[in-house]
This record gives sequence, structure tokens and C-alpha cells, in this order.
Amino acid sequence: MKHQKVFNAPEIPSKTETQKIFNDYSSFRNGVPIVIDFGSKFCRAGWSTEEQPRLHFENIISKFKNRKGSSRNVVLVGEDVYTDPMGYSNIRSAFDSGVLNNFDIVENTLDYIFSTMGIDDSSVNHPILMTEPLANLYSSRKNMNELLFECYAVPAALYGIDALWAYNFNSRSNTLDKDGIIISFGNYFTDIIPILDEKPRVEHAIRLNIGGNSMPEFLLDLIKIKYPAFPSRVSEYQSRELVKNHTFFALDYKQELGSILEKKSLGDFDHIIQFPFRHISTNEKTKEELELQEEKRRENAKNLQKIAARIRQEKLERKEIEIVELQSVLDQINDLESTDSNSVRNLLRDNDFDSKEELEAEIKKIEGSLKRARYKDLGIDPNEDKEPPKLDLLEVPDDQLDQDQLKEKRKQKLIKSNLDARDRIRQAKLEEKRKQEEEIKKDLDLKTNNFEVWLKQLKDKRQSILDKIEAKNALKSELSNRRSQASQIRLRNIADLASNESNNSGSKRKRQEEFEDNFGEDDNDWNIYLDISKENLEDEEDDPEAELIQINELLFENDPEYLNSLDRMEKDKIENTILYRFYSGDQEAILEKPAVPKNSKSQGSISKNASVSSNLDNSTCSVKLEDSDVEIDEDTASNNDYNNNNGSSCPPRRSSIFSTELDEVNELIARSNQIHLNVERVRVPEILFQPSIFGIDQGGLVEAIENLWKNVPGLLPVSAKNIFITGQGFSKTPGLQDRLRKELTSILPVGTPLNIFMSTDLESDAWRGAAAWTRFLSNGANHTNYINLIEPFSISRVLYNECGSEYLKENAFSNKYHNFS
Amino acid sequence: MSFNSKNRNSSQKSSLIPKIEEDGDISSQTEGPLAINVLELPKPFKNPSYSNSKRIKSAKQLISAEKTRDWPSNFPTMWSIAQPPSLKPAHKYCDVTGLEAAYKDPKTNLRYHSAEIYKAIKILPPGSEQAYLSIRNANVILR
Repeated sequence: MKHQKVFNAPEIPSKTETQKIFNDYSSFRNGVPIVIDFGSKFCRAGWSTEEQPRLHFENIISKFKNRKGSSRNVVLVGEDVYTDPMGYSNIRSAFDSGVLNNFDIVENTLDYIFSTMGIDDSSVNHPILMTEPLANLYSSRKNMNELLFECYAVPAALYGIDALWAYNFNSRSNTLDKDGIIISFGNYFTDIIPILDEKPRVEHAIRLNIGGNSMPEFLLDLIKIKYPAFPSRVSEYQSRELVKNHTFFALDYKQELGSILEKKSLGDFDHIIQFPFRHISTNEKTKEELELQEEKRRENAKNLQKIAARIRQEKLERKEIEIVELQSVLDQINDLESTDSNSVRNLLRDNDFDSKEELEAEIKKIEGSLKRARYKDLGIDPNEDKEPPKLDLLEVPDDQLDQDQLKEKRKQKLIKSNLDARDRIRQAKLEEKRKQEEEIKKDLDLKTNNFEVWLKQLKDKRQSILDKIEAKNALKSELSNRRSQASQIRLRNIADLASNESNNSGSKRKRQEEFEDNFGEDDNDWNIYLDISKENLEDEEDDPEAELIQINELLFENDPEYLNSLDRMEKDKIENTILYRFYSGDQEAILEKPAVPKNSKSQGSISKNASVSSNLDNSTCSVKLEDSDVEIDEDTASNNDYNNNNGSSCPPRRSSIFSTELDEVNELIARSNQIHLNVERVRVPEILFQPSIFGIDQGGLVEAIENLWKNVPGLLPVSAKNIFITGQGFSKTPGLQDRLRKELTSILPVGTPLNIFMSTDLESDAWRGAAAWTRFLSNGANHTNYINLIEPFSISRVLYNECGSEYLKENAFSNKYHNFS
Repeated sequence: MSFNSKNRNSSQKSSLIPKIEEDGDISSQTEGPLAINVLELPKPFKNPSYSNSKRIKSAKQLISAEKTRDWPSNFPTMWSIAQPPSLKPAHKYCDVTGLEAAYKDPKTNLRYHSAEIYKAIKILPPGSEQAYLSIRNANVILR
């Protein structure tokens, strides 16, 4: 077996530490700005005077009623939701398709932030710097403003685009002085913002409806359709982890596609994700235990036999007593018959008989059965010494017989014909047996004298059976299609039969009588009914499958290599198909009906002794897989012999990679719980460059940048030198920069300098950029009046009251504002 | 509007989260040290008279409401900055395997890579091709 990459299905990790609640609020009381990067995927929050955010969590919450004990309502924020099963079945986000719309959730999240930061005043007396998405909806901003000013009574709020602050963090100049292009990979969108003449040109920005969230979504769709009957449910979390760990950008997508399913590279590309499954194991019984079992069984059989014999004996004895009694009655009757007919009648009536003849017949009957029983006990065939029935009347002509004799003759005739028929059948049987023996002898002769020819014949016969089975299957599938030729012939036959019948009835009958109906003269005529019936395909007189198994076993005894090579060829054929490689990767195929006969005995023992032990331990699964590498050795072969020690000569298995039938069953179960990622590994990230493969009717990333360069005069060539990547959506997928460089080079004029930078801190660059900017404003001084400092750039309470909740004060990092009033 | 072409996430969310049997060990941690119940945190900074009673509208509703406003022509809005459909002919890939597809089955509209895949397409149960098509939003939607 080739080397395989097996990974365990990702699991939600258990959380080990709690978010601590900070108690150092006293050093921030003087209105130190709070920076909140409220992203659609992650949220970071902290004091602007610090280098790093205090809080960094997944921007989700979970609301549920705790059913245990108190039955209180519970709201968990961030990774806390994974600590409770009720938590992660109720995960909710404040974002709907990238639009901030659920402000109950925002409120819960902000409560969490302010509480854990230790704020114990009667209001949040700090300016808030908050990120918002590019081209944020007015309604989202309005609600946020209302929440901040009315619920938390903040003195000032300032909004900026996360991508611009991230850019600021990386340029460290605190002004947007360098022309360039920002590519920001969000969770729902990818934004491209040009910077020209020291200003972000938000009006020229371009948004792709593809983000980090699109990849797991796409992968989940692909897995669902690739393995529609997959036993475990692949969760969103798992899909995300799979994307994170197994996908990459192809440098040349088409070339990569061409090579993935090639035999030589498939092993490297194919990743197996093993999901947990139940292992089947047999309780191996020791030899003594088996013997004990056998002993017990025999004992039971003996006991049963004894009981049956006793019952039979009792019956016999009863009958013997009865016959003695009846005999004495008969003797009495015989004695009295001539003298006292009255007492004879009484005697008969007492014994429930109408006449003496009846009594005699009864005695004869019981005698007969007694005799039969005794013969049976002695093991003698009762028919053997039975004198042949009298057939003397058969030769006598009827006219010489009287009434009774005629009756007798008729009886004898019947007996005679019966006997003759029995004879004929016996003869035919003998003949058949002789023929069979002859054939076997001939077969044996051929085998001993001309082994090659014999083997060839056997192989040919095997092939012909295979052909027969295949033809049958083909016909079956043909018939399932109503338009196929086979179906049409069948329908025509039915129509013909029906029309014949209807012609024979009604007014036309007279005319038709001249037309001779000779249906049935030839036995083959009846086959038409076989032809038109679909069901009969199933149970024809002989079972080719059973015959095939017989021949296989015979062949295996004499030429095991031949069958092994057949199986190998069959496996190769399967393994060489694109679909097999796509669905099952590089693994060795397990044949459904291998030519090498299966060990039928051990299979039986599995179904008998198998006990499903719930073994959900992942580690044992993978260990198991590695074990199957081991070549079968003599040890296991002898084990096989032990398995069928009932005298049947079954050749030891050497062909299979699995030492026992059970291993194969377990491997099959393991495989049915595997997901193979091969094409998907490049197909999933490719949606960034070709959104159409995920059904998104937009140009890809490169086309968007191309459009930008075309539509914004002066952007080229300067901006090509400064292409900046931020946001976690696609940035962590390997190969992004190389691919982007290659694609951009191909559309840029020859010799244009091209530089692509990745943010140095993808996790919290936007937060740190915003914090750095406030520190730049305060010029490093520690005890400034921050509120006054921030006020010129922010929405103060006065402005909020005056301009309404939709108001946005523009700053260097913000969206644009249009006043409708 | 291209924005709404991918609105699957919210609708699928609830069904994709793993439902794991209640386990006494884990759920007892809700009140334990690992998780913080926001409802039980002290929140002195909140305005006690504030209550948010607004109805939550979907992204679709919010956007269509804002679209009706009288925006200046060059103002960047959520819909105006969206990348337009590609002008270049889209590359075609096999709907089953994802490999390059040179052919299309006229009966199911599925694109396929080779004759081998075509064989597999032919034995697909009727209607199941829609699942393949839905991945690239090309399925037939009956209304």
C-alpha cells in the first residue's frame, strides 16, 4: 500500500482558560480612548494607550436558557460559546451577510467588552474608536451611534475603515502618504481600496462578494455532493478547519487540475480526513471454549433423541396393549359367533365397532403400523420384503371377470402404472448419476492427463458465466429504460399476445376459427412469457453466481496465481478511473466480488461472533489503518486453517492485503467514514480568482484590480509598487502572494515594478493601527485630555444631538458622509 | 443585484452547527469558571432607562430601504462599489470532479470532464443534477 496522508476530523477544542476581568480601571479613568475593531469575524477591544488589544475573540454570541437547575438565561460571547453544547447550537452573529443588523447582539458584546475591561463608572466616559466596514449602511451606523450615545453615554465616537487602519499600522507613518492598493480580505467581502494623492479613494473602491466565509461554505457544499450518504455530519466549524489546514492557491490552476488525479502525484495531493467510526471486533473464542460449545451441542442432540425414542416406545406399548385387547375381543366374537349373535353385537357396540369386518380391519391396521415401527427400529426397509402386489388379473380379459374382479383389476392397473412410473424415475436417476460420474471421471482424466487444456476449459467456462451475468445485468438496465430496444421488443411482444387474445373473442370468432392457433405446439412458445416478465430475470432456474463461486474455488485450488492476477487487473482498472481517484484517492481498491474466493467460513463466524464495540477513539482508527500495511504471513494463514477446521479444504488466503475478513470489514467501515480532499484543495480557494465556479456573477480579484487601474487615472504605475494585503479571509491560504504576483504581472505592462506586501500582524493590525494613530495624536504624552484631543475628528455628543444619529464625522480613515437634509 | 446572490449563510447556519448530545460534564461548566455569562456581569455604565426595542431587519431589507434614498452619483454605497460581472468568458469546469470541462450534457446541463464522467452522469437519479448545478447557482428554481 502506498503512503497515505490520513488526518483526523477536526474537533472543537476544549477551552482551557477563562477571559479574566481586568481590575486596573483606575489607571484609565481619565478618558483614555477605547478602540474596538468590530469585525464580522473577530472582535478586538482595548485601551488605545496600549500596544495590544486586551480582548480578542470570535465575534459571535450564544443565547439560551440553561435547562439545568436554575433555568436562567445565559448569554455567552466569543469562544465561550464552545464551552456548552447548548452554546454552539445557538451561535449567532450580529452580521447578516456582512451587514451589521442585530443590535441586541451588539449590545451584549459591548456589555461584555466594557465589563471585562473593568469599567465601574455610571457611564462609559471614554471616546470610542470603532471600525466599520467599507461603505457601511447608514442604518447600521445610526443604530451604533444610538447605542453608544444613549445606552453607554460615551463622550465621542469615531469610525474608521478597518483596512485603512491596518494599512496605517503597517506603514507606521500615521498618514496615508504612499499611493497604493489595499486588498482587504474580510469574512464576507473582499474590498479593494486605492490610495492616491495621500487619500483613500473610497469612491473608487471595489467590493467582491467573496470572503473568508465563502471557502468553508463552498467546501461544505462540495463535500455534501461528493459524499451524499456520509454517515457523520460535517459541521461548519470542521469545514473551516479543513479549509485552514488543507487548501492552497494553485500557481497555475489549470495545470494543477490536470496533474492532481494523475497516478504519480495523487498520493501527495490526496488528503484523507478520517471521521470517527465504530469499530467491529470479534470476541475471539479459545479452542477449549469452542470444544466445550460443541460438546454441549452434542449432548443436547442426544437428549432430544432419547426423548423422541422414549415417546415412540410409549406409543408402541400403548398400541400393543390395544391390539391384545382387540384380539381378545375378536377371539370372544369368534367363539360366540355361531351360538349367540346378540352378545356378539353387544360386544361390538361396547368397543365402538359396527361389524366384525371393521374390527378385523382395525386390528390389521394397528398390526401394520406396529410392524413398520419395529422394522424402523431395526433399520430394515419395510418395503423390501413386502411381497410384490398381486397383478394376476391384468392379463385376464374383462369379459371373463365379474363385477368385483373388474374393480380389483382397475385397482391393480393403477398400482401397476404407479410402479412403472417409479421405476422409470429410478432409471432416469441412475442414468443421470452415471452420466455425472462419467463426466467427473472424464474431467478428472483430462485434469490428470492434460492439465493445461482442463484449466483452459475451466477458465473459459468462468468467462462464459461472467458474460452471462453481465448480459443479464445489461438487459435489466436496458429494460429500466423505456426507450431502449429491449423494452420496445418486450412491449411489442405484450401487444402481440394481447391482440391474439382479443381476436379470439367476440364477433370475429367465427372467422378466426379457420385460423389455426398453434401456440404451445412448440415448448419454446412459452418462453415468450418469460421474455415479457421483468421479475423472472431474478430467479431463473440456475444461479450463475453460485456456479461462479464453485468454479472460482476450483480454480483457486489449482491455479491461485491466475485469480490473483485477475483481481489485480480488476483493481488496477478501478484504481485507474478518474472517479475512483476523485472519491477514494490513492487507496487500494477493495473488490466487491473478487475472483479469489472469500473465506466463507470465517465470514460466517464474523456475523455470528461479531459484537459492535463502540470505539470512537480516533487514535485507534488511524493506528488500524497503518496496521493494514502489514503483509500477511504464515502465522495468519495457519490461523485461517484453524478457522475452518471442520474438514472442508479451503485454501489459505494470500492475495488480500488484509489478514482477515474482519480487517477488511473494518477497513471498509473506516473508508466509509473518510473524506478525500484532492481537487477541492485548490478548487476552494480558486473562487477568489474565479467567483463563477461558486456561482457568483462577478469578476475575480485580478479583474477587479485591472478595472481599478483602468478607471482611476494616475493609479498606475505607482500603486503597483505598493499592493498591501490585510484581513484574514484568504491571506492565510498558502500560495496567495505567488499567485497574485503571477496574475498581476501578466496584466501589467512589461517591466512595471510590482510589490506585494502582507500585513505583519493579520490578527490585530486594524486595532493596533487605530491605537497607534491616537497615540500619534497625543504625541506620546500620557496625561492629556483625550476627549478634547479626539473631538475634532469624532462625533461628539453635541454633534450627535445636533446632526442626528446617522451623522458621521469624516476623518482620514473613515467612510464618506452625505448629508441628506 | 449581485449582493444577494449569496445569501445562504444565514439560512444554513442553524442546521450546520453540530448538535451534540447533552453531556453532564460540559454543560455544568456554564456556571463554572470557563465561561462568562454576560447577563450576570455588573454593568453600572449602562443607562438604565435605555431599551432597544427595534425590530431586526435582514440585510436585504436594510439595503433595499437605503437604495430608495437619493444618493449623489459618485457616492460610494454598498451596491455601487460591487464588482460588476466579469466581461471575460468564464472558464468551465466539470460539475462532478471540478476538472476542466470541455463538454456539456444537453439533457442535464451538467458540464463534464470526460466520457467516464458522462457515464456517471447518465446514471444519476433524475433531479439530482440540480444539486450539482446549485453549487454554481445554475439550478432551476421553481417559483
